[in-house]
Amino acid sequence: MKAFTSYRLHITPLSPLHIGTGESYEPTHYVIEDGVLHEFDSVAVMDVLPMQDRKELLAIVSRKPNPDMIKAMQGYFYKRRGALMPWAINRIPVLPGVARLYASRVGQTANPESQGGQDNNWLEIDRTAFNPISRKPVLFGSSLKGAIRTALLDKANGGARAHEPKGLHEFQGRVFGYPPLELDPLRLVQLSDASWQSESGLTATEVHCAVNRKKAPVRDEKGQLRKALGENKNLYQILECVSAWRYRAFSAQLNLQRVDDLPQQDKLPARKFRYSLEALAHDCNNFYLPVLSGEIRLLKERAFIDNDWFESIQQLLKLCQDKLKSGQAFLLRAGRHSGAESVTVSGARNGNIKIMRGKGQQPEYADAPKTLWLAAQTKEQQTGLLPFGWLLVEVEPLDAPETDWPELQALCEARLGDARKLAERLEAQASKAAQQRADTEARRRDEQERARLEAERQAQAAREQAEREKRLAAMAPERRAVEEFRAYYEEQKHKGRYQPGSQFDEKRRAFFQTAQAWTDQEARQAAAALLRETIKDWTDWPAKKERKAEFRSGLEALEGTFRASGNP
Amino acid sequence: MKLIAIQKLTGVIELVSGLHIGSGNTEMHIGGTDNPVIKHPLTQHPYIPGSSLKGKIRSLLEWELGVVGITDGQPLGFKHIGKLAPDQQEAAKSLLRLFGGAPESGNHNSDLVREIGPTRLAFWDCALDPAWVDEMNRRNLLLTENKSENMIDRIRGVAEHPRNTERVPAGARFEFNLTVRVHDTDTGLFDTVWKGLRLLELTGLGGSGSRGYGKLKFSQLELEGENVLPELDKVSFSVAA
Repeated sequence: MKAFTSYRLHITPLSPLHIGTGESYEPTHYVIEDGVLHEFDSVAVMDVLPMQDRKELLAIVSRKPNPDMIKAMQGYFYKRRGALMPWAINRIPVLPGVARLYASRVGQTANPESQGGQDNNWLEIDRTAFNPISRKPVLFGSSLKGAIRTALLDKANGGARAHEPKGLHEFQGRVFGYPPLELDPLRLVQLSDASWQSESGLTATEVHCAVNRKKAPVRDEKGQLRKALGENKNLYQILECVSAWRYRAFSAQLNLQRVDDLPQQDKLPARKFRYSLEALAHDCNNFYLPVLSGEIRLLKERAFIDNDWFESIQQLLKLCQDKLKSGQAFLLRAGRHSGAESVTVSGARNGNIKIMRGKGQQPEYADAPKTLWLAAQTKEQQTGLLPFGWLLVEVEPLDAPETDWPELQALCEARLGDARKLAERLEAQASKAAQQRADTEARRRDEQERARLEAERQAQAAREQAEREKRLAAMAPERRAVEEFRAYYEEQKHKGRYQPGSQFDEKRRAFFQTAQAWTDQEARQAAAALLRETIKDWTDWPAKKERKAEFRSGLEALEGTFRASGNP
Repeated sequence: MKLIAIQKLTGVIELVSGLHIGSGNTEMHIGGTDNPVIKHPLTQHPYIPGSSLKGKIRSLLEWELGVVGITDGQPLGFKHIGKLAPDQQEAAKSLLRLFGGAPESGNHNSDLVREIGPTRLAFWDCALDPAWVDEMNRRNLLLTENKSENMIDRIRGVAEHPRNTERVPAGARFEFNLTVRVHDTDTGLFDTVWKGLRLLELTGLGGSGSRGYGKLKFSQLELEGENVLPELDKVSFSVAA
């Protein structure tokens, strides 16, 4: 008996899709230049920037952590983008609105949001789920399975209302015939995470604003069109989304466990809920297709829709219709802003969708939401908008050879003009960046080598110093005095020109006097020789005649050539 | 029955999706994950316990053999052999030879126990490939990821029960070791081993396997230095889908 049947899923995203993970591109870890966000590794930054810059950064981060500090930091990185961008670990295109917002924050344009109130938007960009190793997006199996479960539950429920006081679990239990939990039919459906497969060289994700719009035009007392609550409050999010129209960008596996032949059936989900792949695909299509066409219609009526996208999705639905009918392909909707219609069961949702109203008003409960969240380029945008989260899933048995679908690929390709251009631009930058990285590496190696040599030199000097001190300690006091004065003299001479009347004169006189008190002839002569050397090589004789004569006679006394009675 | 060799199967397990083998560590850390994965107590590196591998592979083979229905949810043991159809008996004995059967109290058939002999397979704990650990350190990456999850209420359309689960991320590599005792009377034991490993590739390991976690593949497999990876591709199952 075969315990399970395995299928390969090819997934093509049809609209921007964001699966939240609680992680974001932190405003201080990227720069946006030319419509592309360059994310860098904060540790690598420390290696790339020179010491002076690092000190400056430290000064900024030591400030009070407030929006100004974040702004200063963004500005700091923006100023050094030339050095940082070659080290980017990730590049994603951002829409012009987001790029403008960023530009205003790094002080490149006048801040459009500065009228009144503190601008508290730190420009955090919420990341979509990704694999931390490859940095490519992931569609979680849990998201896909959740979407499938909704569709299957919808079918099983058949449009009835939910009357369970305890809510979802009680409702699901009634519809699917559990608890106990082992009777939940979805335990026989097993999915893998869907991993990024595309090797097209195109960027995998892009950044959108998510904006809130009213589904139906509503006029207020004055006859003005009402705005959605989120729009009124200027609510929006900046979301990284998986890009649409990447042909078969993700691949996953689906297993259906086979339990029909087991002798004991009482611990297994009811037979009518043991889905074949075809049945599962049909239920998904029966649930999601009407949602998609309804939404398209609505967006068209309200003139929100991006017309190119509209054309493409029409073509796609036509291209897929046979496969959708036969269960070789199905639609799913996953991720953030899928909309209540896509994540709730028809009938059951009636009277349960919470509608938020203005400040101070109680929320009301309705059969359907009154607003939609759409992907936009700017938060004010009213046309050219896209819905979130649509996926086309194709199914093949895992043991069958992989096939291609050139028509779908062509349809996707027609939408990828901009993405291709961007990929070319990034490709061109990549080789330049590689050169720059190599240069920086070389410079860093040089710096390290110099630092190493300098450290060695200092160590050597310290060793010599220690040795000299040891030697001095072992010497007779006279010899030590001579050596110490020599070291002092050489140090002074090294420093620059001799200044008459400086401290050196005083020290020399002190040394001179000390030496005159000595009795050891050899030491006296050594002292005299050193003093003569200072005169000859550096200071010259004193300018005053008497001082010179006095000096000279003193030296002669030290040398033992002085005769008390007159000139030599 | 005589022991003629102890052979060693070595290889590399590469994760295709994030793996969560829970540690049951209930200690709370502020800002920590709700569901940590099992880690080596000294190095704090995640690993795959041999018991997880052995248990999952055994269970898969029992499913594939079609004996799950008659064992009443228990692992296949000596006492079940008599109840099996004749065509299943040989395969079931082969499974007991490989994985062993705990001596059950009372009426076990000591002739059968003698016939089966000692447990042939010894699964080792799988440590992370040191090269992988080095690579992650060099790239300043952590050895685990945190996956956020929630549940959507299909009546009200709101997200509830947010939680996060620690996983070893897709791409991670583990060192796989399995020692096999070979006796002079044994035939075809390795066919069952290949089948078990292939089933593991098809289903995965660890928690939350039905919603994406724990898919893996063998990227290297050698028996005493000889490449046996192709054996996994050759595996065919008793009845086609």
